[in-house]
Amino acid sequence: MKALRKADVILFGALLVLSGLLLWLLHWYHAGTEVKYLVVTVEEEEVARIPLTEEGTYGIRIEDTGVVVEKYSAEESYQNVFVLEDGTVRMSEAACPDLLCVKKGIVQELGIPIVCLPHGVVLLLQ
Amino acid sequence: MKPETKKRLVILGAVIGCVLLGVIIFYPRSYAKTFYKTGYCCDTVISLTIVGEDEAECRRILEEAYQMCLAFEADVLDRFSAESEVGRMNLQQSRLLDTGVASQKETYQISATLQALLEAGVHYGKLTQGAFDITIAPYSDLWNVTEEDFKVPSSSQIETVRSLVDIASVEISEGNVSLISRQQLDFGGLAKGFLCQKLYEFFKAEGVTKAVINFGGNVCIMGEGRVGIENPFGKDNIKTVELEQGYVSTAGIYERGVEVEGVWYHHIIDPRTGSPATGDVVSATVVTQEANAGMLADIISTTCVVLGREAALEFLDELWRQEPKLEQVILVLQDQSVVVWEPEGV
Repeated sequence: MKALRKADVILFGALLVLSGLLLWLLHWYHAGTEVKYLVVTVEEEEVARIPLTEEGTYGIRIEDTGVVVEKYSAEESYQNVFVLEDGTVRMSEAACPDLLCVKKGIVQELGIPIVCLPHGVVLLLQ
Repeated sequence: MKPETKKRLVILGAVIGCVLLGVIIFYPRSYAKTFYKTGYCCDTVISLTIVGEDEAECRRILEEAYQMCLAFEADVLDRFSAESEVGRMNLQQSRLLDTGVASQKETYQISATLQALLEAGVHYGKLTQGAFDITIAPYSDLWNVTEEDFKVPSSSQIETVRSLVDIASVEISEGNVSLISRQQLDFGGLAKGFLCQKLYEFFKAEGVTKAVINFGGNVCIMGEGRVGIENPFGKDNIKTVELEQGYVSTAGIYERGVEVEGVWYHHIIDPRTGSPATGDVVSATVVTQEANAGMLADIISTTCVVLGREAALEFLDELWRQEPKLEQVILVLQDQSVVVWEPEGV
């Protein structure tokens, strides 16, 4: 009697591996310890949450009507400009006198902020 | 249907069933997520990050932690408010006439919290032989270090208040402190580290196992984390410190300051001279994994900048003999070189 063929064993094996992989992936995705987002807050209010996968240069425009965080455009003027790449963030430009946030350089750690005090802007990896 | 096919179907069904059961059993009910809070306290930005499963609970913990800091500043520390303990005491002191008699002392009742801060201030003031001094307030005011518009005082202005900056004259007894007439207190050199430590204790009591606290230049890590150490001369990091738990505190003269007639004045005042520190240390980062060394890390980072490389290294050895708590101190010097102090024989 030949209830199980080689192909069946391979199928079962593949099923097992696949489901294990799925579980692991789900777990990894939901686990809280990995940095996944860049959170932009202005005056203690969260104004943007950008996945680290969406790399690029972004501008922060603070207007009376609200705060706009968008992909950088040379035609616009911004209070702060930051670059998101390789899981790191840095402030590349700031329209303030001290430029402390630009001097701060690259940050890639969870919970370590880049602060622009004059504009009340905080970039935080979460 | 052939019995063979039937058997195979049964086995296939059983395997799929087992896999499903496994997924259901092992699928976590809830996931740990990251929550954060940013705010302003003690003239600096603080950001609190914690990892937990229950969102409402995490948000409550963060809010309470932040309010604790604000309350501490408002009730005890804020030296520009008549509502705080330190502010009230300083105000009363400033209203006194200068008697010119050094032995003339004023005694004030103090809370247990302020007593703890004062004791630490006096202890480390003596240990650093005045390179760290909580009676620095008159100099802080002259240079206006906490404000945006930094001032450069004349040497005669500095001379006038010199006798007031003297940690050795501060006497503490149970519930009381005695100060020379007009002497005032400024806890700016240890408050952030102290609050970092308070936050750590609060999070721990609330059952938080993973957190990152950033309080100005003071970082506290709970449950593994990394902290990059800034390069004062560039935009990269000098190195990254990884730790299980503990504090990473940085003080530097490259951040805040002002240029007047070609001279760069920074915000770290040497209490022994009344002028910005002139040593060769541009930034000092203190690393410790001791849970109760948050305030120490804050004090020592500033002290190393004030002392300069040679005196700082000597002092760190001496400190290690008395209080073996610091793990590493990273000094970045004017010539852009990096000196790392580590305790001997460890």
